[in-house]
Amino acid sequence: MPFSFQFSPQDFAFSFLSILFEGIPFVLLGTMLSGAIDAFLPSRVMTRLLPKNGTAAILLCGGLGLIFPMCECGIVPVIRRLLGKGLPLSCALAYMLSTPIVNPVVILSTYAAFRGQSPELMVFLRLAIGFAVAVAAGFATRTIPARRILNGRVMDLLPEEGKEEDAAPAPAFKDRIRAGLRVATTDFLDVTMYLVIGAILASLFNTGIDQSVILPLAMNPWMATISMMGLAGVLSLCSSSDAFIAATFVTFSGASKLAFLVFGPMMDLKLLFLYGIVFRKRFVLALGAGLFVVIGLICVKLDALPF
Amino acid sequence: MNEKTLRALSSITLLVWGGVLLFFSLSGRIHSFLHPNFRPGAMIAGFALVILAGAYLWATSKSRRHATDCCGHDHKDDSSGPCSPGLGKSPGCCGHDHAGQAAGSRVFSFLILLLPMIAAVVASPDAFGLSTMRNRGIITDLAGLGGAGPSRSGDYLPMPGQGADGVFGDPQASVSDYLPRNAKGHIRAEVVDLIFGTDDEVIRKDFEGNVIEVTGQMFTATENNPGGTRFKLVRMFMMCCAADARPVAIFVENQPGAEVREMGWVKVTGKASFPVASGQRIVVIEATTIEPVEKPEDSMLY
Repeated sequence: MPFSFQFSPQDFAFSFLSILFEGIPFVLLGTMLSGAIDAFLPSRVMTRLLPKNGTAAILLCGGLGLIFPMCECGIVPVIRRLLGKGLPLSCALAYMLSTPIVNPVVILSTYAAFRGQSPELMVFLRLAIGFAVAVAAGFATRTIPARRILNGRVMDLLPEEGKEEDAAPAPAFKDRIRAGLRVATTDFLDVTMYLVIGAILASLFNTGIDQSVILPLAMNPWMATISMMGLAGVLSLCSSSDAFIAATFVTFSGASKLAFLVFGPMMDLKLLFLYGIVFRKRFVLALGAGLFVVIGLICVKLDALPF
Repeated sequence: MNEKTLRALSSITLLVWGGVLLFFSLSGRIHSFLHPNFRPGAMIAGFALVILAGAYLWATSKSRRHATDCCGHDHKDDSSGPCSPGLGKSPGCCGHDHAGQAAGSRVFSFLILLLPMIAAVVASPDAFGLSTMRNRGIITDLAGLGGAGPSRSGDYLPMPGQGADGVFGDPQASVSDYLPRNAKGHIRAEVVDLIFGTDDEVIRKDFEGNVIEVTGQMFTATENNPGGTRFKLVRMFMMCCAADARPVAIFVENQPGAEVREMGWVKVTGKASFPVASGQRIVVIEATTIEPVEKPEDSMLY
């Protein structure tokens, strides 16, 4: 079937606003949290809270979403501030990538969406692969200098190596509130700008492209997996609802739907821009390519499973 | 443009975003955009943004002032220590550094934040048109719905023995005793409830052979239309927000030669049947009346 694109400004506007209306409350929650973290969490507190053993710390952060669930939009400003409070970059990456998948809301929505399509297996594999890939990304970045991954503005936030904590008297509560509000506002405007750009692109594609063009690809495991990951990237769905969309692609194998469900929450059009407020552009592109290849290979290998 | 103006712009941006969320929430327009579960969050965010707009001005008004004090201080002289004791480290203590954010780029950010959103608020018809429905593919059987449940847009199917008030009464009662009905006693159903009948025999028995009243948009039927007299009656089925909504449809047997007003809203009354076509069970309503109606306030099904 030939590729077709039909642009309707009205449909685009409708889809664009709905993405924003759904995403903004979560972005606001995330940025209020980031303001509170910045104003009230002592510097280097994360270093003290996490296990000293780096491997254990990354594994712990990979599963942190079960206790502190965040969606993919809200987590980005939080991660930026946690890095400023001493959260190691590898741990931050593991938490950022895993929490949109390894969280209770997603477990329930995936189970509900796949009723009659091996829901237990789908939930287990989604969480297991999401956790494993996020943790692997954390390990892979462990030895890379932060300046090659983080953008300049986030580098400026990082606590300086070997520098003692500021001995100045603690500021008044009111001053902390003021500082928190300034940070929350700045973060909100930053993140929302990238969300707007991402929502523009996502709406262009999810209203303009004929989604049936990928249906003939369902028979080939490689093509099915690649096309479902491509679709997840283009549609930029929220991880709490994406399972309901994935489940409707009945001609596709369970493994290719799994690829959709693991890749989408970690990397899509809107995230491509949102990640830019924390990471260097080159790193974001490399991360996207790495996730695409690794998740794709895992899911193609799982294609023989009966689901 | 000085920092005071840029601060005001930040506050105005928050105010506009909060105002738009509140306007859509209070006017009911939000119903077309979000699943009911997400609407309270949008309204709370609207209020919070309006409050934040004022609070941000307060937070930046009484800090140390100088020429570049959008956040109450500048960063040029505090590279060796925190810009405000205990509140973090420069230049990120307030989420930005002045050197890296020229006024031009900040104005550009405000334009990105405001213009597309305002244009979309003006342009959005709060419903999808023909091309997007076609692009998303119209679902006519249960397999295409994934694990979604029956409609919760208005009248949903109660459990056997459960009254309209949700209280369980006669345990011997059947579902059909409690199905919502119109003034003429015809069963009122949603498109998606009927589609559930394609897979669930109990639901199918409640509808099959009975006169059903169902509302939706007309759409030309290009398949499962042997006599050329059928059209699809379509509703959008939403999971979280309109961006993930998919069209679901049943078939309506119309009078020969009757006009199909593409995308027009109609209320169809007729007898329901569930024939098997091309290996799949579909829903067909043999229409006795088809009357044009206004777009419902809740045009989406959930």
